Amino acid sequence: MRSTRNVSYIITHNKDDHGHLLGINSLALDTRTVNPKTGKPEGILYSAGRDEKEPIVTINDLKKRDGGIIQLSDGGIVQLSDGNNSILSKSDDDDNIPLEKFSDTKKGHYYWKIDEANSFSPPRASTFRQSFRSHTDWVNDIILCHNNETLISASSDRTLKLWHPHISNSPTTIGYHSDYIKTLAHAQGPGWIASGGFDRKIILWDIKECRPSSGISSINLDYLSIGTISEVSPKSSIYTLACNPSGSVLVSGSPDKIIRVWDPRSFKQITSFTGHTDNIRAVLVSDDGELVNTTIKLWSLRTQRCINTFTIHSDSVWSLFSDHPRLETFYAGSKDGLVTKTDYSGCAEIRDGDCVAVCKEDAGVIKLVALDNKFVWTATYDSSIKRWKDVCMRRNHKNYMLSSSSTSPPTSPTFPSTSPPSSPPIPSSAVIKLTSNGGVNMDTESATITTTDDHMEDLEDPIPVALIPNYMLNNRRHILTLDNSGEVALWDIILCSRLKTFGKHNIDEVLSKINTIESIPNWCSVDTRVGALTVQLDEKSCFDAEMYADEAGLPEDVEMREDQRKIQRHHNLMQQRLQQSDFRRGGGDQQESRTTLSQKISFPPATLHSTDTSNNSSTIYQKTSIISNSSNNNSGGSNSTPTTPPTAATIQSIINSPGSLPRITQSPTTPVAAFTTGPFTAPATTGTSAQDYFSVNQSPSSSSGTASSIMGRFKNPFNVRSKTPRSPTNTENKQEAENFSSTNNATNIKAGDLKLTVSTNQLKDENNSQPLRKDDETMVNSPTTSFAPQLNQMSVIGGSPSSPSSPSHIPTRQMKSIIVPPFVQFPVQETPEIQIPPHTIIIISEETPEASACVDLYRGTVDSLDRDAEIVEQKAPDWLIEFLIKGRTTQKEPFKIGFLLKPHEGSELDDLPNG
Amino acid sequence: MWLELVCQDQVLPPTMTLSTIKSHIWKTGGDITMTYRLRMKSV
Repeated sequence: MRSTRNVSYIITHNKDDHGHLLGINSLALDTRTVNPKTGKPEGILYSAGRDEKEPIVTINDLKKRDGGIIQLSDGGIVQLSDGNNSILSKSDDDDNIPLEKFSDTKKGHYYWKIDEANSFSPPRASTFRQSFRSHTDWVNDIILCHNNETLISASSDRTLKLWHPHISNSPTTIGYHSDYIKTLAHAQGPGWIASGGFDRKIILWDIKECRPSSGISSINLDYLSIGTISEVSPKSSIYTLACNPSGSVLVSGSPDKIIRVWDPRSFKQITSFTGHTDNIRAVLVSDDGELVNTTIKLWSLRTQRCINTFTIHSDSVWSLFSDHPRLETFYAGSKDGLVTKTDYSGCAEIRDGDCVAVCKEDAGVIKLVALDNKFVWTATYDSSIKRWKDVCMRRNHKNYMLSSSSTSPPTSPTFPSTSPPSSPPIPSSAVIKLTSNGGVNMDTESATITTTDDHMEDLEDPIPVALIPNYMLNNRRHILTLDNSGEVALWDIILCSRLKTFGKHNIDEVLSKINTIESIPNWCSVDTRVGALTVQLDEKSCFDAEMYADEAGLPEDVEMREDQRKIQRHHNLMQQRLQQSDFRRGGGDQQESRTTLSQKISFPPATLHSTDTSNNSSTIYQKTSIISNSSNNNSGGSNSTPTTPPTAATIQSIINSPGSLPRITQSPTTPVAAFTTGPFTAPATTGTSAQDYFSVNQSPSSSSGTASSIMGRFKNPFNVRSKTPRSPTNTENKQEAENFSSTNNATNIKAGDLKLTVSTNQLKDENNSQPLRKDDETMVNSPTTSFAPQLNQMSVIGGSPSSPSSPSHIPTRQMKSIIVPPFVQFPVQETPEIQIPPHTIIIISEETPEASACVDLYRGTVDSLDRDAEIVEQKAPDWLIEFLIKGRTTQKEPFKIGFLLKPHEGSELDDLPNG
Repeated sequence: MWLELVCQDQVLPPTMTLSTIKSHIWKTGGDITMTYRLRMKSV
């Protein structure tokens, strides 16, 4: 099976939303990266979410947040901030949530401590720092490495990407899984990361070399799929991975309730632990290789048995975090939102340890990160990240217990007195009531911990709205969506914009109110998986829909629509869109070379075709074509200027000599001559070329009005083209050539023309602006300049607003009178232009048979299309290219509807005449 | 506009397409039967 490529685009209303729209899947904390402005680490929290970020497309975003350090001005932080840690000291804090960076090996080194002395100053708000969008699906995990300079993200779009968040916004793709990638683990020592996903493979990647500056050369060093050996069972998707810093042990957790332990060096399974009763969603490995698992069992790798089972949570545990090298303190977050901290450090027996409820989230805790007993950040399905004050464990804890629900700032056992008063922002919320039964119930009965009060809670962002359900109206153009705040909105997926909002309404009511009675084939599929409208197009159906231009309600474009009012738009919505994007891509340069140019190029032949009514002329055609072809060949070689004069001469002679031939023959020839000359003169030394050009120009034009006008016509396209600053590539031209010939059933002559044109372009490019100038002059001088507008009009039809030759519209009428033959309109021109918001994301993705998810091949915005034109060219599916360049779509058998028309009963009207 | 088309006892809007008529008004297979009559002023 071959893979198929899909095209989709994501519509967003605001360009600059930066919050997560949907749940957050992963967090990473960077405490070491130094803020260049302050010279101190301020703490960066990375978060990865399920949405694409605001701008447009991507699936996930990564965000970086800065921690707020109190004393430091946050000069370093770029943008927005949100709540951060509260009390921090001078050093730093880290509070950023979203994305992670890998931590480096020397962890302990200078790990900044939050200064407790300052801890009572008001917490500084965390700031939003950056957001990256590049994935097209949920980002499931993120990890920091290389001294936190590099961030690696794993996504449901099957890719593993590497970012240098401090350097650039564009990631490098490390590799692919064949299914969602669910989890990552990083071994600092050996410098690899392990990725695990639903394809039941664990892949190790060597990332040692991929320092920011050096590019990523050794990425694929280790590409080993361990999973094929034992992770074959269908239930063995990998949900979690963990390893120790030295990389000697890799542990995976799966829904099959088995923890498997691997030796990453040999890629063999060392052992496995059974005993869990549910999906294993989190594992931790201590530095020396002990591990904890979700329902929280503590296993000893050495003895391969379960040391302890913590039955603190009444619901399943979804996340674990520990920064303790031996995991003697760890945090656990469960499905019911409860986050607990368990500490048995310093205890002789684990059972002497304590457990405390740190906070209670509203939803299951997917990921949590804690710092220095100060703060805990949690991520849930909700789109916010919360920061909580951590609880201080141990000694103080006992006091709390004694006093039952004593309130004291969690952070400050040492400064108990100062806390609440001096920290206004954290007032009562900072106070922790430990109503939990405090102690951990180990092993034996499971106690329910009830927290009455949460510590402190900082909501991260104002929650941008994520779109949840959506309904496509019958017109297949408008989509009704409901977001998570209950707002109902109407979107137009052709214009790619939000039309209006209805406020909080019942979406079904709105739907029934505004839906129309229409039946239009479905041309796309729409989903909101990433929290924004994503429109998927596929080859088979995306050209199916069509609508009348006058009913489209498009703004302006009046010119166009006048012409087309009655004409059924052959195009589907899609076409418009693509075209649009195409134009957009052109943004000035390539635009011309694409649609508009091809129109122009093909235009002359069309005219030729129509004029070519007599058989007589065909001879000449042939001749000319031969000439032009041969000359073309010559010129195709390098700098074959010498051949130029003869050719021109020949053509001239042809033009001049057959006085007896009917005019009609002449006129077609002339343009050819013009064409041929044009290209040739251009390459020639400037002086000569100019002469040639003009002389040719003059002689035919004097011979007959028609000839000259046609010539002018041909020249104009030329001029138009040459005026544009673009630099067509050969490939493009060739494509156009193809287009040309195929579209028009081209005869030799046409092909010849085209080729000439191509070469002209090349040559002109070589020759730079000189010839161009001349062309311009010619154009100005030429009596038939009026043709230009016509061309223009054509291109306007195609919808290019920036067509270079658009100066005058007045001559259009004239034009028409001069040029009698009807123009063959190309389908490309049939749709009016539509303006698509520049931040609309466009994705080209590939779906391969063996994988369940799509991999993005290209992702850009409408805005960036012109820059990315080449990439798009390579990545776009054939059918898209076909459409963009040739303006062709696969024509489907028209759907026939039979009907009978007869007089209404009692209307006394006659039957329709037969036929 | 002196005439109007009627299908299944419904007057068809002039811009309605055949496929819409088929799917929303006619709703059954086979050829669509439409009748024309002088426009009724009352409607």
